[in-house]
Amino acid sequence: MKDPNRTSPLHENAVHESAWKHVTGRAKFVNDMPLPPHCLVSKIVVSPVAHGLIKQIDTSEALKVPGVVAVITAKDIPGVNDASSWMHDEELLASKEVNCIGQNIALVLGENYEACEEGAKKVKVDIEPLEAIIDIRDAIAKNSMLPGCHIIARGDLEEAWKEADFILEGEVESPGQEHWYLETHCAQAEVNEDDDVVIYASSQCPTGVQSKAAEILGIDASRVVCIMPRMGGGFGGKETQGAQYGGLAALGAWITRRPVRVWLNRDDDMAWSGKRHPFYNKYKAAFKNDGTIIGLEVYSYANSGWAEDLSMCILDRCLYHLDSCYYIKALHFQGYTAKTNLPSNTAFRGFGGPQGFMVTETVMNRAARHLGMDPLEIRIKNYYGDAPRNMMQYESPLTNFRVPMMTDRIIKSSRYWERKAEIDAFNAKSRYIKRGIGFMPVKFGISFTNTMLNQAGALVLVYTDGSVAINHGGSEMGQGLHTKMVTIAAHNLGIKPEHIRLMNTRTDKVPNTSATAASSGTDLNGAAIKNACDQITARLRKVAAKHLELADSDIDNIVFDNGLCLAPGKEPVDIVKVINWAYADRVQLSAAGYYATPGIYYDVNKGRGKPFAYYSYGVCVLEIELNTLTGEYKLADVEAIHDVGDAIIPSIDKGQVEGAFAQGYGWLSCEELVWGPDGSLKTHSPATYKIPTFGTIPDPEHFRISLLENATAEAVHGSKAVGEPPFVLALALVQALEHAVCACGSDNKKDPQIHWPATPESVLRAIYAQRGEAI
Amino acid sequence: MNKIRCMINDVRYEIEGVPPTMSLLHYLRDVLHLTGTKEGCNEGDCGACTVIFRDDTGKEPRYRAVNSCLIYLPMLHGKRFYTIEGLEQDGKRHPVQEAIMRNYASQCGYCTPGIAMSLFEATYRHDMTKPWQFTEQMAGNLCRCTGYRPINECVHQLAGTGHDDHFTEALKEPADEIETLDYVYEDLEFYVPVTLAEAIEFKAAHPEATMVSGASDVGVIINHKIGAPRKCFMSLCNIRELRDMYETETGVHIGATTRLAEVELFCEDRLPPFSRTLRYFAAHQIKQLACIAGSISGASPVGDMAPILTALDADVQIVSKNGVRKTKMGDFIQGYRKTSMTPDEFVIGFDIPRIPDHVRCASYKISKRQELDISSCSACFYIDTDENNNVTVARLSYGGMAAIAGARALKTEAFLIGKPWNEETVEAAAALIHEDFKPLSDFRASAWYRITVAANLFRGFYMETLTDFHPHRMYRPTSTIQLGV
Repeated sequence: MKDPNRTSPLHENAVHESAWKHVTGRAKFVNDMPLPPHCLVSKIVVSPVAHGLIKQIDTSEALKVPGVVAVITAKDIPGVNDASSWMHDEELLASKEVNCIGQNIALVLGENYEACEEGAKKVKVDIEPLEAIIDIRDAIAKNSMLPGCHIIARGDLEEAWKEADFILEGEVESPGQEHWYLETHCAQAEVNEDDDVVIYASSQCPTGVQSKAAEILGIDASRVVCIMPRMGGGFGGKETQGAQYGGLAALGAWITRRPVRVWLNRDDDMAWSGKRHPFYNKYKAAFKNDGTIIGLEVYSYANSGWAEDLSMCILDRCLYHLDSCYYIKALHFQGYTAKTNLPSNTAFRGFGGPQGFMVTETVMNRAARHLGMDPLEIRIKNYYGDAPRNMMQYESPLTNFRVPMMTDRIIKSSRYWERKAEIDAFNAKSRYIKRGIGFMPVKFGISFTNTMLNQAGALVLVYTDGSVAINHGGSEMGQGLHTKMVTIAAHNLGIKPEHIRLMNTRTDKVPNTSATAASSGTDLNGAAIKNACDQITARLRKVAAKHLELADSDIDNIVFDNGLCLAPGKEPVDIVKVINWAYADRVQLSAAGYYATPGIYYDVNKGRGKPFAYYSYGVCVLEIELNTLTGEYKLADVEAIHDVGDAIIPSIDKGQVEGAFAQGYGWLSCEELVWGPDGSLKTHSPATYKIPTFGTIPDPEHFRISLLENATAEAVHGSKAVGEPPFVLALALVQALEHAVCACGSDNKKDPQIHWPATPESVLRAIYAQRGEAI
Repeated sequence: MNKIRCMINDVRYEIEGVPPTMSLLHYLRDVLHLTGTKEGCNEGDCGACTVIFRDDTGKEPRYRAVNSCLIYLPMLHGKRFYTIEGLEQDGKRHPVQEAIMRNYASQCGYCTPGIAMSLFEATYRHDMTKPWQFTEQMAGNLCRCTGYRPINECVHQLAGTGHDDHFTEALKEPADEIETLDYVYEDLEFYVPVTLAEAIEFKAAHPEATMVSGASDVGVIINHKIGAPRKCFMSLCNIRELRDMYETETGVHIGATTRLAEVELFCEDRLPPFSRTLRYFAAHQIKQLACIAGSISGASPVGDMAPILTALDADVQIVSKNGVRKTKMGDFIQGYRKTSMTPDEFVIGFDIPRIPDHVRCASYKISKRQELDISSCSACFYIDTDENNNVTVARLSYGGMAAIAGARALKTEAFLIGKPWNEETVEAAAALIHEDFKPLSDFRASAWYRITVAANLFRGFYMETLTDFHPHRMYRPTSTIQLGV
């Protein structure tokens, strides 16, 4: 909450700290940096087959191409040939086996891109093809699984089946999604006179780039620095997968002793990089006739592609969100990560969470239809409540559950019931156009599901002119993290934001950082910065008390605010004066901050624990209008309320919620990944893979996103995480489309068969199926 | 002239010694080190590389947003451009830049320079009066972060507000004299004539020359190095006489290289099918340089202009050293990527008959995403009836349904003649359409979807034209078939 006695930027709207550079073209992304003298560029030679054994790699012809300087293959790697995030199961450059189309085999380095591309074409790779698994069902049938299985179970399901008035069984498939960050992968490396390596990388995890490069080169991590100026979007796609490009650039620079830039063009980036995990799920659900769900069994299979990457963690998050917002007495959630010959799928905003929600929300819609209940009514009926109905699947109690209150609010503000009736009346008389309304509640767990990662560091440096440089481990990808960090530092130091300089993220300033991911960037790094600032202000208070001749008991009452030191009974003093007193008194003006999220733990073998520090909540009501002749539909109206606690910067959080919604809507509607039977991606450019456009999103009066007010919460300065949870709001589309498609048939209880993403074709097929017409 | 003369951010440049197939985007970034302009896709599908050029071909000079990734250096000749780096004047940010900041419309910032340039064009446009124009203006700029709402606020705040500043003053400067450019670099030649006579001469001497106007179609082939390398190019972009568009006694004449953006506006009331389809055709930036001749000369089976020209029974004017000849659009495209033109010929214009009041006519464009997507199926229908409501003329022309763009449903058309125009007839006809086409399945749509929608579009057309014979574009319609609800 805003402190009325403070003049601080905290909880105020603010422009992104780089906005003035974005709008003038001054903001430099890695590929915008001037090429250093003698810098080589590159082209990666990748596998043209989904699975095979490498018999021979012949680079001799490529080396004859004018301008080609080197062709690097696995045998040239001085250290460990690995690009994985932690499993050591992904070679940086394939040496024996290739496991997907697009897997790295060789790096061609040259004076210009034309030479590199020509060279890459002339690298001869002799591969003996092996059987490839592309489809998840095929993987399940052949039991092609990566190691690991996660089970969360409680209660007596056998009892639930017996007690049930009706049981629903079925399958749910959720689609993959290409990140389509505007800036494709890029890294640049140089070796300096001490044989140290400096890497500039577009990466959500500079530490990952640093440690991977050190491993690959066989040198100490302390001799590698990764610098991350900014990313043109990440969305999870640069959490682990940037490491290979940083590693390749470092390897190229190490071998050629020249700077090397590795940059992927759009088609290569799309064809080679991992995506959101598609999931295949089987479920069985037990309901009472009053709509209560009493049992749910789900088997989830994540299509992981060929390597682990983060697949198990993503599966974990799916299982953690299979409860959605509902208390389920007896449950059995079991998940596997299937191995297929696709690029290794990776983190993507939501990280398995949306895939989990999709199963349970589909089940809820089905149960509502079966009972002739409204889908909203059945949801409210099953919401978590007071003990014992507050116990989540991993036997951790849910506290401060705001969804029921927010549901009440949005029912009123969106006129849900009135509009539902209006829509049903409209549909009854409209021949070709049908409308649908959908509601979606969100409860999204915040913390890395790998408990170890929930820590962060910061370095705050105060200079004697009163200016401040702050460093932290998080990386800026557009989410406004740096802007929030400046705000938190300004508030806690009492120094005006214009005197606070946010430094590029560098691994030589803050070590061992976690990826900026899991929506946790602000929670973790903000708390670490606050911790560093608190150390400094504690020292400054003592200094001020001494120079202002205050009693020790008054030390805690000194406040630094907006460039002033405010002490009880004294005239305000310029904070620069206090800083200089401190310097003269030989008091340290810098501090390393640290934060580790308290109280979280999880035992994966038992399926029990408290994996999340807290939960973020949201509710959404949206309306669509469908043309039943073509299957085309438009998003007619969206209303959402999202809980971000007391927003550090409301304007930034609102932008996150709106952007996440649009991305979620794209996932479910127009973004279709089409793979050929050979494992090649057919939709590898924006000509064929369609993310939402300007016209996809309604005009502002029909796109009303608001933040929950007076919502003080658990994280730094009463805020909550925001990056991923609002992605899930878009799942309201499921109910809305099912509503409209159902209106096409004569039987209200017949389940619509919508294949996701709901492209016009998918919807038209569902309409025909609903009417019982031949396809 | 063998050097490219142009102006970028008010600085004059003479360009030589670089390949003519270098795009403006790469020239800006790699040669001038103006890296504010970004590469997002290199094929005109994202708008990150958007820059502004001054268009001197209309009644008054104006600014237009274009994709720099699809503009090749010889096409710069005689033109003036602004990039994101040119917006600040006297150390002050441009209102566009202030609006983006004020509305929190940049997050990662990578699409922002391109967004700014599309907003810049809107600022100096004074013809944005209808809601659809605001959406169309920004449709060619993808943003993955914001969800577009703040950008929507920006375009509404900025449109038409540009007055009395550096850029309006700059527009008052007289246009540069353009000379014919014959740009040669190693074994590459790129010819940019200013008269039609020169173009005819060059094409006769170089029948292998790849013809472009804005190069938005051929550019993708160049950038992605598809097929055998092309050595010789000619752009018609500087030939003023090919950009005319006017009403004739019988209809409308459209010059070969008239900007699709202008066709879209000009045809709104005169030939509504063009405007309906063009609203969802490509990016706004593409439509500034692309033209109808380019859309049909490649004879792509999914071209969206061919079905309209065919259904409207347009004449195509073709020229060569032997003179001008006319052909019906229905005879122009002869097969998959094959036209009736000989290598020394090219298109110079179209004569499109007026649509009589008693004729029902509308166009449709179906794609996975409504905006900025290649059609899975497109269509234009033309139905005339006599005083007894019996069909006298029926032209059902489709894209995406056969190897030929603008293929007609001939069996269905034959069936319709003489039948009363009512729902029963339309139902019977819709069933017959299944016999007319055997479309393919690909990653855009299956054969089932294509044929089903082809029939359903005709049903929708019947409904849609019950009251309005020439339905116009609606604002944010639910779908292609704009059934008013």
